[in-house]
Amino acid sequence: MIAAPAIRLGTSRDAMLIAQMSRDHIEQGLGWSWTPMRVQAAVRDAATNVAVICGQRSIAGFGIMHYGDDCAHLALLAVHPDERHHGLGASLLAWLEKPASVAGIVRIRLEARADNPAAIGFYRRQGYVEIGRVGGYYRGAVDAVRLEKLLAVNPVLPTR
Amino acid sequence: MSAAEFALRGQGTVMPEVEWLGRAPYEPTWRAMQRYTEERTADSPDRIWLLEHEPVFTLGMSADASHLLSPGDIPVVQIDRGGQVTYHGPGQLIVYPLLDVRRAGLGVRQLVNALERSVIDYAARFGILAESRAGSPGVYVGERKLASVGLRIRRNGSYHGLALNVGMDLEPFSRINPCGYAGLRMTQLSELGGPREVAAMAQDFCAVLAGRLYA
Repeated sequence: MIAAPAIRLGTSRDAMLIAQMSRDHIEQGLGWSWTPMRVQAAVRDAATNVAVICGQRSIAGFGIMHYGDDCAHLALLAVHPDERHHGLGASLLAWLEKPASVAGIVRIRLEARADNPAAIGFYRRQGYVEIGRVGGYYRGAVDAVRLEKLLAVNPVLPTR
Repeated sequence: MSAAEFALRGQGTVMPEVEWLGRAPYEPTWRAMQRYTEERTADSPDRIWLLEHEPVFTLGMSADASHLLSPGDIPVVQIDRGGQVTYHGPGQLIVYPLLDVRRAGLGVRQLVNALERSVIDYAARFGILAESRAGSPGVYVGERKLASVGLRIRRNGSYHGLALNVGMDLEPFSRINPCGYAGLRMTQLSELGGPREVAAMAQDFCAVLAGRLYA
């Protein structure tokens, strides 16, 4: 039996490595918007989870999700190229989705680079559907495909 | 809502007001939670309500009605918490943490973890080995479920919470697929060598939870 991969909340000490992974594996060709300082801010925000997963490396992948009242947003998700195809990305995503489903969050949204069909295919396999395309979303240079997963089939609005 | 009210006081920390509500009907309690959350301000105290519900099936926002197999004469309420279908009834401790999560510095994950860890710690006092699972919320003893967790957060206020089986009739759970899982069996503290009376254990459990929330 294969042990479940270890996933934990990231700390400020992980911020540099996470930011470098974002620069090298997500934001390539777009400049560097997820700097160590921005990752640090996400680590400190109680409404955001920065998750890291171990593999052959101490940080084989990471994900950052923000939880609102009704909508959660996956800001970043990446697995190191050498560690792909072992289900780490799916495990990370499921770990980040758990609090959203416990808390009655209706939907999770994310944007993926339109020039990255592998990423879009991955999210489709995790139950996400395309809901639109955002022109020039990434620094005016690259379009985004917006995807969504509905968690609530019976949304109940609070009434008194 | 009449309640014997008392407060836990820590060292310099604003602790929640804890209220024992006794046996309470589902819908008015749910509406009162929503009202408190809607009307609370930055100065409103955190509250933890402890109670037992009259028998009811509740459908969470992810619930598939097909998991409600044969409710019989027990009422069914569609509600605004996360999760699937569950049952509440006498002999089950209900804990509703009405917290300002931002003020408490808590995210959803930390709140869920605190609720689950409190059950695990409390059960351990009776030699019961309980555990949480990575993929599915709640607390389990072996393959059986001991406690369920479902929340809602609005405007930084949390409501709904935890249901811990203490000494209850578990038969109504056989009328549903609890949490959306066919054949999921439930257990309770009294079957495992723990307490039998909710009223007698609620405050002790809450002290464990407060320690986790306001550590």
